[in-house]
Amino acid sequence: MAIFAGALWLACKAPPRFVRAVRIKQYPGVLKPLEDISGPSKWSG
Amino acid sequence: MCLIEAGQSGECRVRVNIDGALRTVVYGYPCSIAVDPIEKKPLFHFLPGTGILSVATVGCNLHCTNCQNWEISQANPEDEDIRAYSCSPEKLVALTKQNNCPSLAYTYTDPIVYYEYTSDSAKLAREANIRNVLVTAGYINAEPWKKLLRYVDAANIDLKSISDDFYRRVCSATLKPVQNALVMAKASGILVEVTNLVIPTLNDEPEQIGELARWVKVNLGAETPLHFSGFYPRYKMRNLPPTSLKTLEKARQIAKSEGLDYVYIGNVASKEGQNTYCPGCKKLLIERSGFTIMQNRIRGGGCPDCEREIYGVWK
Repeated sequence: MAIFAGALWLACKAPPRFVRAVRIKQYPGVLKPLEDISGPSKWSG
Repeated sequence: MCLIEAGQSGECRVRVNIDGALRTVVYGYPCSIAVDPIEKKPLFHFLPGTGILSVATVGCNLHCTNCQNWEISQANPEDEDIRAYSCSPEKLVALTKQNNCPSLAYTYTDPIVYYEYTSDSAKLAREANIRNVLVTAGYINAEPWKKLLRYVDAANIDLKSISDDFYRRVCSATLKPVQNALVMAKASGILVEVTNLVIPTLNDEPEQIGELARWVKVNLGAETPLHFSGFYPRYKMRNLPPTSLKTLEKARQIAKSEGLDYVYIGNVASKEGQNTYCPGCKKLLIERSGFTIMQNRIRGGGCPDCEREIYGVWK
């Protein structure tokens, strides 16, 4: 019974599932103004 | 796949289990926004010579010890020295238009960790006739990848090595999902270019380069552009020297001899390695100097001399 319950739990839990995350209400970090985006950009490639 | 306990974040640091619900901390809060030349992505076969609004949030699902953008990719949203903009998908699309960019790139870190923000922005961008570009390591499961690709026009996907051991040791990841993502992206019909960052002693053996080029040719097609990019000592990998031009030129030569039509060198000055040549008649088609287009001879998507069709999105 325990083995069956364990196997059932694993079957439900283990396969990859696509879960769309929900937006958090408030950003936990520090914000900066959007006006200026002319600064040097990050490395790419 | 992460199993995230209550109150904890996943590998990427930006997706959190709060009271049993998965929440994205960075939706609408990019830490980087800039207008780049599209050649910087690098995309050499997609709207050459145009600017692209480029956006990223903090976080990454890989932890490459050589990461060139580790200050943001390995940061936590709470870090005070990495500040974020408040920029909804609507604002992002408006910014793209304001800056006269025909396309919008989700880049610098990895759009896969800010998936919902990317997906919603890409939908709006498409409605506004703006093309969407992903620059990604391609470490994603098939189902979400397929859903995202519906809104994507082009992608530069890293193939960091053809060795699973490399992915495990250097990137805390595995090779197979990346290969699957590459094949799915190409099969979906979007424009795909591939980047391999060549790191001295770790993935620069000629046999490895040859194997990687063969894999690209067989699985993605000979027309798929491959970029060999130069490594610079960064993050936790400061003990290795930068990749030499000679090594990159050798890699290019190997990949071309394996039958790839378009092989480029990046992150170093290389005249020939940055130009596009016709695979048919071998004539120069696009001459580049750094990120600048010096001349573009492609006409109607083909070579003006032999009329061979050139893989790409040219307008």
